Amino acid sequence: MQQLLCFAAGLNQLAKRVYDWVMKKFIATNGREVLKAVTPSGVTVSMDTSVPLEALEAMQKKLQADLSVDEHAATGHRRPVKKPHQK
Amino acid sequence: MPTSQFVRGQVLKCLFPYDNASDRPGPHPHYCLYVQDVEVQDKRFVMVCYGTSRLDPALLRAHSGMILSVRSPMIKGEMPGDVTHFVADHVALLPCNDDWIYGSFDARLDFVKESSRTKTPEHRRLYDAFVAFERVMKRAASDGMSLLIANGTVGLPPHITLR
Repeated sequence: MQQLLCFAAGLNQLAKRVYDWVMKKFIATNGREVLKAVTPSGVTVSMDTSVPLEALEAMQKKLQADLSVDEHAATGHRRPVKKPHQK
Repeated sequence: MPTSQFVRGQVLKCLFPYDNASDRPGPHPHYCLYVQDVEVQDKRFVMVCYGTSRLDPALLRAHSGMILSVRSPMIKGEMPGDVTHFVADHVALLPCNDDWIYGSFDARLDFVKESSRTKTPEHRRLYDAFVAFERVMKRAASDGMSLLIANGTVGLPPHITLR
C-alpha cells in the first residue's frame, strides 16, 4: 500500500512538471496575468489571460484562412467553388 | 491606442510578455511584428511576433531558421537599434490597449508595400524573405492557438490529470 501511494505521488509530481512545462502562468512586468505555453513543435505562445476564448477562436479562423490562401497561391490551385445546390 | 486596422508588415512597440527576466525592474518594450488581429465584443486583439535587437548564440540556437533580420533603414519609423530580429516561433496574443501596446509608435517594414517591393535588390530580397517568414509566423501562431484553445485558458491539458 505504501509503495502504491509513493508511486501515485511520483506520478502526480511528474504530471505537475509536465503541466508546468506545457502551460505556465505568470505576472508580466505591467502587472497583467499571462499564460504561456509551448507547443510540441516548439512554438512559444503567450497571451493575456483576459483574452476571451471567442477571440482565440476568431484568431485561429483568420490564421487558417490566411494559410489556406497562401497555399492556393503557392500551388496555383484554385479553391474549389461550392455550387449553390451542393451542401 | 490604434483603433484602426493594422497593416501587413507593421511593427508594434509593445510589452511582449516574457517571464525569463523577472529580475529586471520595470517594463521592457519590444519591437514586434504584426501577425493578425481580430475584433470580438467591440474589443480588438492583436497577435504579434517577438522582436529583439539582440541576436546572441542562444537565440540563434533556439530559433534556427525562424529569424528575420531587418536593418533599421529598411523600416519606416523610428527604430532604436541598427537591426531588429523577428522570431517567427515566439508569438503573443494581446488586447489592444495601453497596458501592452504603445499607441504613439508607428513603424512598418519598408519593403512590404507593393510600390516599394522592387525599389532596390535589397527590397526585393527582403520582401521574398518576408513572404516566407510570414507563412512560418502564421503557422506558428496557428499552432499556438490550437494548443490554447484545446487547453482552455486555465487548467490541465485534456490528456493529463493531476490525481
